[in-house]
Amino acid sequence: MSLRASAEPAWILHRRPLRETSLILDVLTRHYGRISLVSRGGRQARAGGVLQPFRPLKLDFVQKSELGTLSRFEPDGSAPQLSGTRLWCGFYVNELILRLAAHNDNQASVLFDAYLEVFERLPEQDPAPLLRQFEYRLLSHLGYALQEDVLSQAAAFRWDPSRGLVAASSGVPAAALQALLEGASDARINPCRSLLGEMLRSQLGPKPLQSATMLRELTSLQGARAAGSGATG
Amino acid sequence: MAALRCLPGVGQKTAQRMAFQLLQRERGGARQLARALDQALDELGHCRDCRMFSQGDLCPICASDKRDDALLCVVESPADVAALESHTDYRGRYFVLLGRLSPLDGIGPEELGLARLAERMADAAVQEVIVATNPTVEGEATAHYIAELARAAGIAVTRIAHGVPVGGELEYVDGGTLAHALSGRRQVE
Ligand SMILES: [Zn+2]
Repeated sequence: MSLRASAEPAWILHRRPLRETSLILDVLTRHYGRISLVSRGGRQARAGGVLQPFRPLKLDFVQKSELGTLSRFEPDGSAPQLSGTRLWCGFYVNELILRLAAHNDNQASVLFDAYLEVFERLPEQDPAPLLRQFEYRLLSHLGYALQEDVLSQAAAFRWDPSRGLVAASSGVPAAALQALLEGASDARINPCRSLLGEMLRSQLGPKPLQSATMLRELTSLQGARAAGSGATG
Repeated sequence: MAALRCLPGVGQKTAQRMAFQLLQRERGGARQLARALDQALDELGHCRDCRMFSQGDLCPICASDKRDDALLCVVESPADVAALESHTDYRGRYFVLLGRLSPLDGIGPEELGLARLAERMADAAVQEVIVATNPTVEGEATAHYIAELARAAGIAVTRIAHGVPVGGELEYVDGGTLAHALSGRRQVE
């Protein structure tokens, strides 16, 4: 494995300190998927302010083993203004990728586009359907797309781990699933929430997503007036 | 030497210099240092009310009757308390999180003692919670969660922000900026 990338579009998913002044960064890149990089001096003032999650970057890096080295970075446009619950939604998206997406995936541009779309719309739009569409695009990217051809055969469906969509009268309406598969990210796809949640759980295993737990706690604190209610799967 | 390297900014060479100095020329000082560290580790716990390092059950700030009970300032680290104490005229109470919420590192409300913070907020004397977490994404996310806790308790919440650079840490902000940040705090929407 030897990779040299320059001005690669990327977003930081997570950063953790390494010794006094350095950082280990988990990033999502357009052409290589998830990459882990060391940034020497990354915690120092100027770098520290730029090397943050939730902002588009361009990175130069060299990767000879699993852990690459960041050699240059710059902001790539302005960062989306996320506050409150929407910030927590951002952590949720990042945590999903960290838990599920593969390292060094050269088909990652589909996932990268889905990621861009979430963060482009998250400052303004209702977060819940944005997250639903992202969950589905991530699952499709992982090879778990739903079968569109069965949607005309019943009015509602549930999801079965071995058989996929199965007709079920109390399940998700076919119209909601149709909208999900067509790429909608509006209220029409909200009924898909529990079905997507089950698909994700079969990938994530028993360990819950921390940020999903936090979003639920925030929702219960906010009570009925929650803008971000139902934000997680 | 390996033990000294756990100190911030101490590399191999510095550790060697320190060790030789302590063992050759400053044996008395070395013994004193060892005793002081030992004593600190044995006696220093966390304050029951604010989680600040403390020798007793309560730290001097929580024990003092000269502080304003109406104000409760939430910070990430003991160093932030020290910075606010020396650079601002803030005379309310504190709560020290000893970290920040960071879901991707597995740091949740429990690790930061937020149940105790909620108890503090339930005290009728508290009228304003000032959230002074760092302006990093985790600091902002933590501020939002604490603001929701305060709102659930029916208390006004303000956030210091003005002048503290994004990605910066309170501890390293200069005194004038910090005083300005505190006096210019805003209501959290
Ligand atoms: Zn105290």
